[in-house]
Amino acid sequence: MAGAPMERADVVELGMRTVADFVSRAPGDPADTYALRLTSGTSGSGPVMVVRQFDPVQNARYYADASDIIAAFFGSRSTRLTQAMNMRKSGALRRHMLILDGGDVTPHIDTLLQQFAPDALLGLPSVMVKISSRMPADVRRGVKVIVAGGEHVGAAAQKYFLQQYPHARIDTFYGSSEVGVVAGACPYDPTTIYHPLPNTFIEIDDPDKDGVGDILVTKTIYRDQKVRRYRIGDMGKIIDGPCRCGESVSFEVVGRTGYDYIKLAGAILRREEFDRVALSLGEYISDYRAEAYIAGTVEESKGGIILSVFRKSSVLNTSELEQVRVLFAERLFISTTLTLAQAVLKGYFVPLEVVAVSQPFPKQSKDVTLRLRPS
Amino acid sequence: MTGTFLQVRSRADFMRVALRERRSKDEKSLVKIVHTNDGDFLSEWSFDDIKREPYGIISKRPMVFMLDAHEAIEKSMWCYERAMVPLIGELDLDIAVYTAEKYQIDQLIADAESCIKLVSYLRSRAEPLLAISILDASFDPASLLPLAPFAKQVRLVLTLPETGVIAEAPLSKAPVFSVAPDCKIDAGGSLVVTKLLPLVTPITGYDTGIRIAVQSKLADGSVESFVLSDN
Ligand SMILES: [Zn+2]
Repeated sequence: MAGAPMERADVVELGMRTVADFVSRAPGDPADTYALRLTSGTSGSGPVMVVRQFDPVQNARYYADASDIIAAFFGSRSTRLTQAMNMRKSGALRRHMLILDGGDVTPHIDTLLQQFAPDALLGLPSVMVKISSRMPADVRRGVKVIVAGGEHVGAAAQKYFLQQYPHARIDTFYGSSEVGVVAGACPYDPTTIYHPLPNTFIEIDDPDKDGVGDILVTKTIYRDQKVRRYRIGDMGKIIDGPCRCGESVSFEVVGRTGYDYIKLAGAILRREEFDRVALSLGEYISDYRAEAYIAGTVEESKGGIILSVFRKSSVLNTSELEQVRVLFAERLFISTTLTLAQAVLKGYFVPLEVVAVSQPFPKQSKDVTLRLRPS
Repeated sequence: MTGTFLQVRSRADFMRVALRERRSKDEKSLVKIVHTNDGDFLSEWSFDDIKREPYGIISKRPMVFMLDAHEAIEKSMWCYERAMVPLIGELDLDIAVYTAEKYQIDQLIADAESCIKLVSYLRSRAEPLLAISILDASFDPASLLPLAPFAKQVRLVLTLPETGVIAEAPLSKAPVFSVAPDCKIDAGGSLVVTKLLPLVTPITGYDTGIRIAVQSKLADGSVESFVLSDN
């Protein structure tokens, strides 16, 4: 496939066009073809709305035989509405769905989960872990499938789910809020190997000697509007040859440690968002480095960020450090709708740490402004 | 109908009786968590039942803006059931306003508190909305009257999460509510409602605790219109 890869800014612009188009014409198709979604914008623009078509394939597969489904995404409401519609449009005639909200995790939740008695759980791995810790053991034994999306299911989380849900199989999907689902997991290796959905194309941009490079996605998102070779923000590699499940194209998502995007604890940390906030605090920050990490156990995991700040004029004093700590957390969006300060209040993140450094950061060939601490 | 199920007469029953024991039919449904000061409970709604409720009007681009996430999702699903693509308002007001502008909404479905937050957005619009439907269990007309110029009609829709619509009134200083279709209201000490088409958890002789003063009655003696009493 030819042409320069689309970057986030291109997709944001495309998304804006989809909304303008949708508003300007009477939709000829049924309403349940479309979803309004929020996605992160580019630097300084705040979130952006896009119109997307539902992914029909997604509907058929994940919870085909489930009758009592819990969806556990605490992010934007547009995400949760889309999940509700996916379940509405697919599967069993008798199906009950409970779309959980962060505010539902009250002292009453155990009883309510017991009453609802799910046989399927769908959501962000980190949110599902939170819910799991509140779900009585006999209810967990009734869960047959766990569908994870939005974050990588690490080895520790996978082990945790299999222990907590002895009768469940794990399935995952891969995609993003702006383009929807891109790939489903291979049934033989559901947390590592992905196969693209029909009419969705995957390439690896500029692969290194191991075949690893940025994942590029080509897919129709709305009517005739396509993202072409979109740099979705993860690194991966194509696996040669047909898969034992019969699919012809397979890829592995290897790097969530990319330098422009880090996904953890339900959040998406974006370097340009850090840049935006750092710029707004220019009187304190000449340059910075940010390191993200997972704090706590799998069961009680939270995201954490350490910000190292260099100022040319003078090293930050204690009260200035505190000022940066408060303002940075208030201004930094770590999801489409949530600031770091709000995420700390909700218990998804530990408070920001800010460290003053006296020397400029060394120049390196690879950009390491934002990085994930290896676990 | 599936065999036997337990009747609920009040919120205390909703909290006491497990969902399965008060499920009268098994259809594709949305289950909500209802948070109250006295505790939380599950309220299940089949999509056919959601569709039947008169939450809003039919328009091209509705926005649903509610504090409670379960209510927001359910009312948005109502829009889909009625063949409209809804904008679900995010809790963050700036984001909600930005999306309302981009989507050029033509109708608003909201709870009373959320509605008021949108006043400066509504003032900035060139044209009034087709309708604002305010879904709530109580209304303070004085605080809502400033909304009047911003829509061709402002509906006060008396609604509980577990009963759906009970009655509605046009916005005025002293709103008079009329009983909703397929609803029967009796007044004892407080408003007692029966939904004539059975819901998943049937609402029959359900004591809402809402205090009313009856204005007129129907031939069968049930309430036709009323005003809300001060709490
Ligand atoms: Zn495979």
